[in-house]
Amino acid sequence: MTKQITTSFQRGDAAGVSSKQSLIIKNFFLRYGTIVALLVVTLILAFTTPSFMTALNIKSMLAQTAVLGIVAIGLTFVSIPGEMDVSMGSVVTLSGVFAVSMMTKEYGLFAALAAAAAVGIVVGSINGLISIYGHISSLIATLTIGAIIDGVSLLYTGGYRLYKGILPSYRYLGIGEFVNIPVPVIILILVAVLAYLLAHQTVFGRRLFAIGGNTDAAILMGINPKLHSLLSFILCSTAAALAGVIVTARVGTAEPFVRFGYVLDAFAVVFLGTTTSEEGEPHIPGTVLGILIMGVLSNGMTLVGVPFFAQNILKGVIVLITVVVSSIMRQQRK
Amino acid sequence: MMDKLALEMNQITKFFPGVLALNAVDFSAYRGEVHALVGENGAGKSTLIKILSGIYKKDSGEIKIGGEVVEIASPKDARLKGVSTIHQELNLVPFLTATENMWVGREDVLKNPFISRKKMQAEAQRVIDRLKIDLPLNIPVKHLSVAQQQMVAIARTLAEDAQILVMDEPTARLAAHEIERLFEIIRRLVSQGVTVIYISHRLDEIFKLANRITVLKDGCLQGTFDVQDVKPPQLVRMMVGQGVEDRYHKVNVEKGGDLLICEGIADGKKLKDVSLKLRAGEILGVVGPVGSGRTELVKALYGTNRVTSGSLVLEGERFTPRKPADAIERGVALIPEDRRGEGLIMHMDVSENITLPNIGRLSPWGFLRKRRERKIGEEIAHQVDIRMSSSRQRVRYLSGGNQQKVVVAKWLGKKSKVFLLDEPTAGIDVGAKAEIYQLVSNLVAGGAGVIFISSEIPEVLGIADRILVMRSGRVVAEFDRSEATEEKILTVVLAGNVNVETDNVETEKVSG
Amino acid sequence: MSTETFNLKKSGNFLARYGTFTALILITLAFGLFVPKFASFSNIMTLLVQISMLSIVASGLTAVFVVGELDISTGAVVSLGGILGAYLMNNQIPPAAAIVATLLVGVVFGVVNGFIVGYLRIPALLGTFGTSVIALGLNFWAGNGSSIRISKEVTSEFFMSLGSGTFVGIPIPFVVALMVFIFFLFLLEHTKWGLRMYSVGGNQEAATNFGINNRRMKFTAFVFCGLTAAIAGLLLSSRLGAGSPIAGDAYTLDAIAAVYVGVSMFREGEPHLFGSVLGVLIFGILVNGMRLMGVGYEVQSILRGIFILGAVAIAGNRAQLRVKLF
Repeated sequence: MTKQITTSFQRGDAAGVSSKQSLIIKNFFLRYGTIVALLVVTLILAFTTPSFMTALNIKSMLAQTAVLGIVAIGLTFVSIPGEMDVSMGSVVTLSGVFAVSMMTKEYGLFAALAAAAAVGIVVGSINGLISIYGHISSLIATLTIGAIIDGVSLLYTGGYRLYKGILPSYRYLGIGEFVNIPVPVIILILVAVLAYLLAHQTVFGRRLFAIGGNTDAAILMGINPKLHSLLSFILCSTAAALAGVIVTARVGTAEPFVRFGYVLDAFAVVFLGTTTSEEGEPHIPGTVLGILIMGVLSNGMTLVGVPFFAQNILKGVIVLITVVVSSIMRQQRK
Repeated sequence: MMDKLALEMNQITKFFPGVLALNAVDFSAYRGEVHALVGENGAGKSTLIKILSGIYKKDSGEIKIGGEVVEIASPKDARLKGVSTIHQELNLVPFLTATENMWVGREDVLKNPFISRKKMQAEAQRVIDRLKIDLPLNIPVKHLSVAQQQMVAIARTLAEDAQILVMDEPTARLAAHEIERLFEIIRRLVSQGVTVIYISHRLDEIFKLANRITVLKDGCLQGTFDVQDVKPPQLVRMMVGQGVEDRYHKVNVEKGGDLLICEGIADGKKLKDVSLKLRAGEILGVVGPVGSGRTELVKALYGTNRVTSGSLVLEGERFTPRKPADAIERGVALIPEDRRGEGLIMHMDVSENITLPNIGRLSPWGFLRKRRERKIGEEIAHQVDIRMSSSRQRVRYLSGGNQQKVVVAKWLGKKSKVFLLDEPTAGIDVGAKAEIYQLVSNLVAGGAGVIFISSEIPEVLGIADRILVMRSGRVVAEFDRSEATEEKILTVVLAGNVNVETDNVETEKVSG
Repeated sequence: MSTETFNLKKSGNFLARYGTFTALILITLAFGLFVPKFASFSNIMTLLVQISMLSIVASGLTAVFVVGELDISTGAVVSLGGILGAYLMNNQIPPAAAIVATLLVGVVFGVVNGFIVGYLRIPALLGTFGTSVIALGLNFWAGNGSSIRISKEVTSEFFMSLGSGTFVGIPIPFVVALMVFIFFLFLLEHTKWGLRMYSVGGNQEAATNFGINNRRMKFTAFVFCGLTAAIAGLLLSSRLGAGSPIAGDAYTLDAIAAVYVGVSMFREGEPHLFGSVLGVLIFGILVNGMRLMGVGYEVQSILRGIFILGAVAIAGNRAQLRVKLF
């Protein structure tokens, strides 16, 4: 009996050896291709564009990327258990509107931040409750909730931009610097570290991954997928709300009719991140890598002189190619 | 009519990794005969059929249809050569009508891209008439009964002009009177020259319907017989074979007190009335045909299905699981039938899977302590002897047997007391099976109780202390290890089905 | 023995089956009675035009739903069609050539979507998201971030009449929508390809067993969907007199919602063209009526969102039924 096991075991190994070489190469590209791409792009830019490797440019690049980064990290949380949130752009707007309006009414900085946080938590709960307990695909649910929130922003402001009474302490969150580092960047780093700890170092995170991997099995192991997904929706919306604060703090106004253009980019970032994990699941380090790539790409394209509006096309093409290549490789491996 | 061979399969051999699934099997069928294919689970029936219907490729041997050697490359190819298979799951499009289901994919016959529903329906009606059955042709098939859906599937094969019709357990989900109707239809088909290959576990049906019977066992041909030349007991003996006991090494364990007591539990659906006692250190085997309620029993005990009546006592205290977490809390562990779909997180590694049910307790304040977790995971993995490159290997890349060990190992860290194993050895090769038995023996040696559900009677005989036979949601017989034989158990299982003819299935009497 | 159980089961679907239809009638009646201008001839003409574009997009999207997939790039392709049409007109390309070129671009997007989803088996959400980013990028690039106004001097009357002209008294967009509708009605309900598409969406395994090429069916559906989005975009830009990079955005959600609303109507939990068009009608009438009542854009979008959620909640639950049927 034991003999039989060893033979089947060996046979498995022997079959593996022939294709092992190519498998290693494939795996390498699959996992580290994105990182290599980042390095290559950075190097090319560094050598061809003198203005790229300056402290000033790097600082502004990171500051520009911070908002996108926070949104993308939030999005990573809903993506881990296999959900989707496209209402984030609307939440960014709404939280900015509420936060600024608190200051317009002279309730102070904390009221402003509390209002933003409340927006995040409430919208996240609604998204989660509707899509999980209402059995509606989270894409449809959040798409619709997003439209509703847009309406709320417009209704609340009457369509006018808000800028009165914004406190300097609030603006500091957007344009301030702390030991020579832009505050948004510090916030991004903090968010990234917290997100990493939560997703990869806690029981909550482990269970989220388990749900994303196999919901049925997770249930049979006593995990409550609905509760965990709900929490991930709330985390996501809260991140968007934080982004809303930073956006308004940077520009100094809250504009209810400006649709937040980063949502598509945030998706692209998370997708790019998934390509760096062996099984194609979203994860925080991958997302951070994606943020860097997007940041370098946008910045580089601007420096090189790619028209602003053409940049999106390039990003779209890059995302599509990455997604296609990585999923083909993954399919082949199975 | 029965003089020409419609199908010959000669010296068919098929390997699966580590297993010889078919060993030079010969099989042939005449035009216009019903040829039954019998054997235990894993005997090779379905492998043979899948080769015939183009799902598997044979490793060697030849297939002749109507005297000509053919290669069958795909299901579509099989159908073009006149072989149609009706699988248990029927494969219809639920919201299309019977007519549409009979026509879709072969509308080319009508030579017109614009389909005329009238014409399609007229054709469908013609087929239905040929079968002499009455079938609503214009409502979505999802509103039809299982039996009617089966008629649709049969009608489609007829419309396709199938010469050889393979039916895999066609009566598994039918009521007694529906089975009768199905038999009439099969007889009618046969009289029109169609060859029917009929796979079933139910010997009574086979003796009623078949002209010849082929018995397979462990991938080998046991023989082909005319139905009048054999008796059921002979067949059973051939299916069972000799020397089964040698494969199992039953370890005798001191039995403790009552661990789990069920009193007349039901779930309001398939589980009607089950009472049982499980003692510490005991392995309780549960056998019964698919749909007998054995899986529902496990689900009820694990809290995935609600118990609507009856009572459960676990370790002397009332036990009312409403969700899996409740059951886990009380030390009940489930090893589900669908290992990949319900037992494992495939993209996680071995250690992560093993510690997952226990992760809350291993992580003070909700923070993972990965080094300690891995150490524990590795310890348990070695304890159950999982063959892996390291504990970081993802379970996706383990063999079926080793995956199953991971599923069991998950519960070892949890110190579970009652283990519910639903078909734990399905799809696992022989060597790994022995290891799973060993693992189960170790569990009971540690004082746990095991409920072991299986379709393979010999395996239950080999490992269980007591054996319950279930049917229609009830326990219909109980055997002690000392008195149980495969023939006795099989007789109860099959006898049950013989009774179906006289009883109405819904209100069967319980026999003990 | 069967008809009895059948009727029983069928009657249970009453609410979901006729609920949408009842809603449509109630809404129409309410507006007709309480909003004075609603039933006027000119308003009905406006209404017909308003629903035309969405109806065209929804028709194409229905085909994608029928094969069991999803396309979230429709809105971006609608905008692209409009922008491209406007751009070509401003560059004095003959209208016929401009129209053909625009439609071709729509088809190209459909081909890319169909290839990625159908042949490469990449989840539709991901794949069509990628193409939508590209389409959006093109939109913004072409107009440098703003709309391209079609200059009256250079454009042909023919092109402008597409959006605002009439044909024997009927608005041309509506005529086009009707033609598209009839085309898809034939395709999905009366040809063998339609039947095959339904099978692919209903039970892929069965479809494979029936010898149907799943991939080709999915591919085809996406191509048609891209084409209809481009048609809608052309009409839209002609009507607005400009191509806007975001004018089509709303169509993504509205079309999905319209198809979902229709899911509850026919074929019992399956997408169906009549149902989709009914959904379009409901949206069109709601928006039109609310506008006449002077309801602000923002309240409209809130109400519409709530309505969609309600419809999807009813239909979505039912649509899940089909998966575990056999």
